[in-house]
Amino acid sequence: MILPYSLLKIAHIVAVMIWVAGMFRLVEAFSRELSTDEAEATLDFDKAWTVPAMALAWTAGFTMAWQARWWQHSWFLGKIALAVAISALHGALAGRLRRGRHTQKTLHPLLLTAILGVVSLVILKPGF
Amino acid sequence: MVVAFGGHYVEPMSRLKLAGVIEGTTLLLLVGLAVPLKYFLQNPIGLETLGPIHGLAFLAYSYLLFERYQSGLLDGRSALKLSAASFIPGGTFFAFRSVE
Repeated sequence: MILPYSLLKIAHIVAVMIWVAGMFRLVEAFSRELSTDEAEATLDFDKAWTVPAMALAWTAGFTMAWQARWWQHSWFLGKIALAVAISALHGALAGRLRRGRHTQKTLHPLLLTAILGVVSLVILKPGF
Repeated sequence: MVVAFGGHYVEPMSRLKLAGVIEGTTLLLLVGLAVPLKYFLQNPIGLETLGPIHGLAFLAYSYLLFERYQSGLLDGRSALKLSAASFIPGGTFFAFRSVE
């Protein structure tokens, strides 16, 4: 299904905003002691908002990349690598939280750097 | 899909298996239908439609696999086996047996 590019972009950006919000919530949960209730609330939020947003961001993004052939650009490949890293971070944190393997770490700087990287690459498109 | 299956985090492995079946099926269709269509009948329509669908199916499977590994449901060796299986058409249909 070929959707207008603008529509895909709108969906992608809105989805990314929600996904990033969810990532911060998850990272915040890992930065301190959590009660069972808090852990459950975090996971409920994750399932209801973060995961669908992440799926939509990827689907819309993938479709745009395919339509506009962004694969051929190096800035895009860098962005994809960072997007994969952020997705992997989500998988690792959500997975561990589900099984009670929650240990305290400060991941905010890592997350911020990754997000900064993605947005910088998209805005500046170096080498394009 | 998360909302449709709903409820608790009760059957994570079944969801992974389902993703594996979808991934394996799209890969089989790609290799068995789309590729011959392009190279023997000069029609790229199969590749252009199935390609991206398989791409997304593979990404979804890989992500779910990684999450199960991180949550401790799978050990490293099993995770690697299940990942390797996704590169073989139909591999994911059988790979889960050797993991359980």
